[in-house]
Amino acid sequence: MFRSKIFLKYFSTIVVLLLTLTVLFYALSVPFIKDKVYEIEEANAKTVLDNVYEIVRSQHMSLEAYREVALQTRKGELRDILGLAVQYIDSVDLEVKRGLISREDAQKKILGQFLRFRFGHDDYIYIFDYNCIILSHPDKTLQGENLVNLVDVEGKPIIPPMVEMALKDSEGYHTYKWRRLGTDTPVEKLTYFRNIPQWGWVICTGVYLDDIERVVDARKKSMISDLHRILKDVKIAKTGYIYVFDTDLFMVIHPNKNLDNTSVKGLIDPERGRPIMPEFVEIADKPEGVRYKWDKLEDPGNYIYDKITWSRSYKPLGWYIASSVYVEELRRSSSILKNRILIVAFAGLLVLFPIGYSLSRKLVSPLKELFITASKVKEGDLTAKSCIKSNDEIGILSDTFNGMVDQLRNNIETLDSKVKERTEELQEAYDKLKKLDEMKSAFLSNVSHELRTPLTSVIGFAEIIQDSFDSVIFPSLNHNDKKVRRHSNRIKDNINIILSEGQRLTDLINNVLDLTKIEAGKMVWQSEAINLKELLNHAVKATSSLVRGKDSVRFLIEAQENLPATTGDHDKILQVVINLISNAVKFTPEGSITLKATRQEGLLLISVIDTGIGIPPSEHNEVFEKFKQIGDTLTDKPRGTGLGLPICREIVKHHGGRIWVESTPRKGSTFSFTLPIQ
Amino acid sequence: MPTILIVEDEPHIRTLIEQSLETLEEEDGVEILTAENGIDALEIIKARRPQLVFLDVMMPRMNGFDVCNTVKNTLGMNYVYVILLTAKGQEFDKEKGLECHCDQYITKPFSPRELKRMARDILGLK
Repeated sequence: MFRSKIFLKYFSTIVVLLLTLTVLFYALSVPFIKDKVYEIEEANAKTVLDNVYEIVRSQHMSLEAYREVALQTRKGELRDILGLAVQYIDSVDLEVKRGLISREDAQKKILGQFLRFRFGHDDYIYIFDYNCIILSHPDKTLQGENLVNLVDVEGKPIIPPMVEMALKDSEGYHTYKWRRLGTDTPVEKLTYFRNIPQWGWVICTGVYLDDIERVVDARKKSMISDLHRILKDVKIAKTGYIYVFDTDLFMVIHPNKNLDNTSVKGLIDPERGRPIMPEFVEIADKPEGVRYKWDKLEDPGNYIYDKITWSRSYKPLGWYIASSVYVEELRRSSSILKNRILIVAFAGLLVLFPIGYSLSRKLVSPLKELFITASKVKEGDLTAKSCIKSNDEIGILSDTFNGMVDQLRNNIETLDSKVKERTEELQEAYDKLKKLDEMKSAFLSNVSHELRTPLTSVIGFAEIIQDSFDSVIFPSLNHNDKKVRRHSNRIKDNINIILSEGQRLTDLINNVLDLTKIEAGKMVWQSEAINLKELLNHAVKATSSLVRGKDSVRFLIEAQENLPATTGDHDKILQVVINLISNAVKFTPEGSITLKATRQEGLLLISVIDTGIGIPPSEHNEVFEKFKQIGDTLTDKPRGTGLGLPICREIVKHHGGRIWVESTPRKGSTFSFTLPIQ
Repeated sequence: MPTILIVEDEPHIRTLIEQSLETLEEEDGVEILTAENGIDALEIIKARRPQLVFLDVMMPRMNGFDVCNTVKNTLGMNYVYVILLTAKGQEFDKEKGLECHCDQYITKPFSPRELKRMARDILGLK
C-alpha cells in the first residue's frame, strides 16, 4: 500500500465520492426507472391488447367486405338475368303488337317460358301480380295461390313489400328466408324484382345467400384459427396471454385450445367471492383494468398471486378480448433492470477504484518525492534535487523548490566563506591577544624577576645592616648621649620598616605572579587527599606568631569530629585558610577569632569568624576583587597587598567551592568557603 | 678546610651572600670562593672541589641547571652540595631541579641569616 497521508486523504475522498455518486445514482434512478419500466410494461400489455383488437377488427372488416362484394356480385347477376327476362317479355309483347300472337298466347308463352327457366344453383324466376297471386313459380303448389299473407320463418312479410316497392320504384331488392327447391330448410334469400306494368306483374328472381354465409363462416373459422396462432405466440411479460370470450361468456380463442368454446361463466374471483368474467366485461375499454388474486400454473390452487386483466369489447362480433398478466412479471423487467444497474454501478466502482487509486497516486507520488527531497535537505543534504518534470503546478513547485535549495546552498556557501573569513580574522585577533597575554605573563614574570634581584639586595643588606648594627655598632655607642640614643633607635626602627615593607613587596610580587598564573591557566595544581583537621592545625600553627602578638584577641577552634576527607591542592587551601586568619587578625583589634569547620549539606564548610571592624554591605562583593582593600586608602594605612582574597577566591573556585562574606560593620565578619567532600 | 663557592652574576647579590657568610670565614676558617658565570664556576669546582655551592639559576653563558647537571651527573661529584638560587619563586621548575640533582633551592629574596644557618648546618659547623 502506498503510505502517505495526503494520498489517503485524496483516495478516501475519491472513494467516498464514488460511493456517494453510486448510491445517489442508484437511489435517484432505480425507483424512477422501476416505476417507468412498470408503466412501460403495463402500456406494452395494453398495446398488445390494442394490437390484437386491431387484428380482430381488421379480420372482421375483411370478412364483412367479402360478404358485401359477394352480395353485390349476386345482385349484379340477378339484374342481368331479370334484364334478359324483361327483354324476352318485350319481344313477346312486340309479337303481340304486330298481331303475330294473341295476348292470351303471349301470356301463356311468357309464363310457360319462365316456369321452365333455371340458372345458377337451381335458381329460378317467379312472377306474381299486384294482388300477390302467384302466376308462375317452379313450386307447383304455389301456382295461382294468393300469398298476400305469406311470411317467412321470422315472420317477415315476403310478397307485399315487393309489390309495393315495384309499384313505387319499378325495381328493388328484398331478403327473406326461404327454402330451396327440394329442401325444407329456409335460408336467407336475396330477391331482385322488377315491375312489368303492361302485364300488371312483378317478376322476381333470387339467390340463396347460404353459400355466401358458408364461405363467410369458413373464413371466420380460418380467422379464428389465425388469431389462435397469433395469440399463442403473444406473450405479455413472461407468461401473460391474450384470450377472447364472447358475450355469453364462452371462450372463443384461448392459447390453450382445450378451453375454446367452453363456458367460463363459473370462474370465481376468490378474493371477492363472485364470478370473475362479468368483472372483465365491466371494465372493458377502461384503461385501469382489474386486479385480483390468482393461482399459478406451477402452483395451482394457491390464489395469492397478483394478476391484472384489461379487456376490450368488439361489438360487431360480440367478443371481448382480454389480456391477463401477473403483476410480478410486469415488475420483472424493472427488477432485472434494477439488478443490471446495480451490477453496472458496482462494475463502475470496481473500474473506478483502481483509476482513483492510480490518479491519487499519480498526484501524490511527486509530492512524496518532493517530501523526501525536502527531508534530505532538512537533514543537511543541500545537493538533493527533486527530479519531477512536469508542466503542472507540482512541476513548478518542484522547480521552485530546487531553486530555493540552490539559493539556500549559495547563501550557506557565501555564509560559510564569510564565517571562515571572520573566523580567520578572529583567530588572528585571538592569536594576537594570546600573544599579548603571553607577553603580559612574560612581562610580569620578568618584572617579578627583575624586582626580586634588587629586592634581594634591599632586604638582604637591611638584615646585614641590622645584624652589624646590633652586634658591632650598637654596643660601641655612647648611650649616654641623648642624640646618639635617639638616632640609634631611629636606625633600628627604620631598618625594621625597610624589612617589613620589603616583605610586603615580596608578598605583592608573589601574589601578582600567583594570580597571573591562575588566570592564565598556567598554575600547576596538585591533587591529593587532604585531612582537613591536620590542615587547619597547620594553619593555626603558621599564624600563631601573629595571634600571639595580640593579647586582647582570643583564638578559638571549633572543628567538628570525624570531618570527611577532601581532595585538592593542600598548600593552596592552606594558603586560603592562613590568608583568612591573617585578615581576621589584621582587622580585629579586640574580641575573638573563631576557626570553624563543619559538614553541611554534603559540603565542607570552613569559616573564620571575627569580632572585628566589619565590612559595609556595599563592599561585600568588592573585597574579592583585585586591589580592593576596605577602608579609605588615603587615610587608612594599607596593610595588605589587595590580592589575598582574589587569590583565595580563585583557589576555592578551582576546587569547585564557593567563598563569601557575611559582615556587619563594627560587629565583625564571617568569611566562609565550601569544599566538596572527596 | 671547608670551601664554599658562590656563583652569581649580579655583583650586589654576590656581595650580599659573601657578607652573609663572612662570619663563617672569620670564625670557622671557611674559604669563600666566588664566580661570575657558570663556565668559571665549573673550572673552580673542578679545581677546588668545594663542599657547598650557592648557584644562581639565571646566568649568562651557562645557567645554573647546566652547571649543576655537569657537576652532579657528568663529573660525578655527588659530594658537592648544590643550593640553587632562583628568582622565579614558585615558578621554579621542580622537574628541572630534580633532573640536575640539585640538593636544595631557595627563592629570592632570601634572608642572609637563613642562608648562614643553612651553610652552617650543611658544613656541620656548630
